[in-house]
Amino acid sequence: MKADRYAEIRQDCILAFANQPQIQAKLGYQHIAVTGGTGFLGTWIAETVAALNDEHQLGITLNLYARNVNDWAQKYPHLSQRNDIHLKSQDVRSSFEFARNTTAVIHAAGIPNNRVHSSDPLRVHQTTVLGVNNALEAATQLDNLTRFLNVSSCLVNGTPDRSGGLTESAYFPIPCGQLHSVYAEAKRAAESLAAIYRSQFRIPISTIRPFTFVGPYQELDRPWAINSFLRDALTGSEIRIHGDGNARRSYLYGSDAAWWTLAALVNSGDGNVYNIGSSAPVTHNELIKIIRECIGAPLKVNLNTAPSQDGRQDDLFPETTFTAKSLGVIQTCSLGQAIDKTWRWYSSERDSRRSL
Amino acid sequence: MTLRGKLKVAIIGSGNIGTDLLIKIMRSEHMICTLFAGRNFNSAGMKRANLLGVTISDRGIEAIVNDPAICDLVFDCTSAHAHIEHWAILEKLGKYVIDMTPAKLGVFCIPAINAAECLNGGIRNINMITCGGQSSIPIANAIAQVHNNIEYIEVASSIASRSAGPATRHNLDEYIETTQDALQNFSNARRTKAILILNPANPPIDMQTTIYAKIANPDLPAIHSAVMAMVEKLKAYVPGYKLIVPPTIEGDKVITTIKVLGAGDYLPQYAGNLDIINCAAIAMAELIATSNLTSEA
Amino acid sequence: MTKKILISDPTLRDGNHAVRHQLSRESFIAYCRAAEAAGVPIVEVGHGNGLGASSMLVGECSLTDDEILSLSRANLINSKLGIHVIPGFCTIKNDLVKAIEAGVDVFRVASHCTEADITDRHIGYIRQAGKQAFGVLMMSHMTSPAILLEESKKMESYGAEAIIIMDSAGAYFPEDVTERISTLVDGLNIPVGFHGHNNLGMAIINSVNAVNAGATIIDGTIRGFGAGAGNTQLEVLVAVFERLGFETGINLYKILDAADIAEKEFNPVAPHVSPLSIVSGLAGVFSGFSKPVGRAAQDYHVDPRDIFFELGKRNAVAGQESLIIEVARELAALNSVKDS
Repeated sequence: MKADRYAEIRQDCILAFANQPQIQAKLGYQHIAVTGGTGFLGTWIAETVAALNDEHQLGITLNLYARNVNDWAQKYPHLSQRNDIHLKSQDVRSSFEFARNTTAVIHAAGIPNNRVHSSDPLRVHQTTVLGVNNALEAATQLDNLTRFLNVSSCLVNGTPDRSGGLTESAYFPIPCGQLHSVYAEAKRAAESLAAIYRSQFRIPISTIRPFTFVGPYQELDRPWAINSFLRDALTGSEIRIHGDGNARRSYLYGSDAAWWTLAALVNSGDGNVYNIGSSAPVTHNELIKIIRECIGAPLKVNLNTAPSQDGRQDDLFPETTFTAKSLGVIQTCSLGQAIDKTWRWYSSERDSRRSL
Repeated sequence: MTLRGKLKVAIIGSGNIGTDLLIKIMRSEHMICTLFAGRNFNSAGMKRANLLGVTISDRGIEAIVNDPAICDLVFDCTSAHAHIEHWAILEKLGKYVIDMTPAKLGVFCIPAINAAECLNGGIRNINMITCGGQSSIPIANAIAQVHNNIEYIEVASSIASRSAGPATRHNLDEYIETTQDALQNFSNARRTKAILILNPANPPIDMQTTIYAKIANPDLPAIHSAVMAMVEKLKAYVPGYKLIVPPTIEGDKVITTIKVLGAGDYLPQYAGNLDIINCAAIAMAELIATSNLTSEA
Repeated sequence: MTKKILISDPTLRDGNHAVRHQLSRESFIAYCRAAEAAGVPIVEVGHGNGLGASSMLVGECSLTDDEILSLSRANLINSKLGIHVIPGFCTIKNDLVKAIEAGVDVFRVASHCTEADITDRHIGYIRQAGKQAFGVLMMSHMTSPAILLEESKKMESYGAEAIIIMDSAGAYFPEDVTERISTLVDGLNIPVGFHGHNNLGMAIINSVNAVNAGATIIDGTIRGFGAGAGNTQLEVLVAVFERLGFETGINLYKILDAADIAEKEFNPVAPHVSPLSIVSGLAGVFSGFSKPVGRAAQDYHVDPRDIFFELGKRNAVAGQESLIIEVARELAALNSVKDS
């Protein structure tokens, strides 16, 4: 059962980097450090690197830095026991050093879980701001650094007050001094720090801004719409949609998210920002329809209607023309496929928990 | 075993509890803090420890694994979850551990009640229960000395909202369950219940705990003298411990209220809840330190 | 378009405060059936302070939580079964697991208005189990609209699917409600609700103002049966909303019948705006304190109104009933000094 799951993930990764020989070649023999390496993105990067090395003998090494690496190592031995993947226990709030041979850094440490944004905003702020500072400091000591990729967030753009996709240069005001904007503000500060190190210390820095991702390795307890829908469908509960169900989001599958990130590592330009996300939005209502089709069973759905706020369209998804053109990437996994894969992953997780 | 006759202690966890313990240890004649280990050099506790000239590390438990001789006793001020892993390591290294988390792996310890037992029989993991437990259980135990078949004991603590950090808030359930278990253990009551209230009043309130005991035909004078004797024992290691409402009969229950004023070492005085569990831990460590000295002499 | 209002009825929960948590099995059965017949959408049951709160501190319940839940579950079909829980009293292991097994539909997870972060794990657990979780902020008059919004957003981030603010002391005036509800409606993505108390005779108008400001969930209890001066009176609320054209889905005649049933069933304790509850509203102290304050005043021969105002000065919060005796003792000592 387990082996099948990982075999499917391997196929997803292979599909994501198929027909991309140039990017693959540039990734060859890189020594990549990933902070926040055991998170969703880091884990998918590990899967992708493992696939690249096994399929194309690229000789990439990966150092994953994270606060608690033991749980991950135990959970995913198919990754942790490989000799091209190394785990390093490190809290990025404390200053640290990268391995001397590191050629590229993906700084993905951060706390996107919005429960923690509420409960421990200080840790969120420090992990983001001190974290990027310490990672940049460590990067200045590297002899062979070719790229420092700062993983930011789509939230730095602010909350859109109009419909349509967000370009990298779009911005909307963020209220100052509000607890719920701590994460966005910290990510903005992190982008500023990255700009400072690029300009003042000539570090080759570029930025990616993730939108919503989906797939195995995602934690379903995160209160984001797609997680709630999947979880409620999984438990056979009624799915409750906040608002009228017309809010639109887009979802990029883990293998594409990881491959786009690796593409940015070798194809991005200094100071540039790239949206990472699907440019094909769906409303919550449409998303539920897709989940229903995938499960093949009826779902109880209820609109948990809040009075609509001045009737505007609630949209959060990227415009990815710049990313696609400059990085040379495409979305290989459709939303329907992504939901199907994610659904089966969580069903088997649930079953294996039950059998315990 | 000892450095200039002092017990070498390490603190893991650089939050409020760990840092306040450090300040208290600095005053001790029998202990010296040889390691203060956390995860983050930028934390306030780490900076304070550094200023005090204590060896600091951001490697957590690994700092001890890498240099086992650095200490004889470890205060674990991390989390219940982390303590499980820590104890597995520290047990192998043969360290004394005073567990400040509600992990419940070791022996429940209230110095005023069972200090001696905790030192005997090769016990190496001493669990300090919870702040509410340290303040209320001695009273419950004193009442139980008079009435050995208490039907029900309940303890309700209110603490200043500002003294409850993110970890306390996150672990409310563990707080309640551990306090209830220990309460049962030290009072033999048939049923026990623990309640915690966070009070946001500004300026912050002092920690206050009320102990309710349901007893058929209570012997109030005997309860009174047992409680007063217990309060004296507590005051020996928790200077800010104070009886506010002495045992009083109300309907079918005996009610006692106590207040704990913190020492104000690293934390403000209103954080009596954090102070009392630290005072209790220090009392135990001092006993271990002095018994070692005795055995060497 | 008519406004649809979700009515949540805590008669069998808040009402327990009025009878020192002694509601009988018969009362639970009779009222569940009456509410079901009237089409009340959510029937909230339990100890006055929620599951796991039966205690000497806030009063022991004559029925166990298990008994209350199974009784109520058996007598509710279309009406959803709701409960109230306050972390610090309840725990996931002791209470929520059982409630989920017992078939509770709606979990209202409450904290004092500035302490929403203690509800993180409980709301998360309920959502993981696929159940509906509302966040409740009690004693909401004790903080500013901006802080209420911040705390509400915390609960929203934990997975709360609605936020209800409680006027636990019955201290609000209509404009206070408008200001707070509109702040929350503007700032949140989830529905907002209001739970009124009648200490100053404002419960109905406050609830109407809440709806006009955008609230879509309103709490009310039959005959106003609840803590202190009682809650927003449900049958009045239904009638007023019907006149105002707000749709509740509750049958007016049937809810009036329920009021008659309740009159017999809960007699003779239907709450009213007593002199003491007026003082509790003015002092901004939790309505549920009136019974223990009355008792302490008798025991220590002090004026209960003095106790209330002193509790107000000390910012007493629900669950701090132990403070009542301390205050009464101190007042008594002060009086004896004056007398001598």
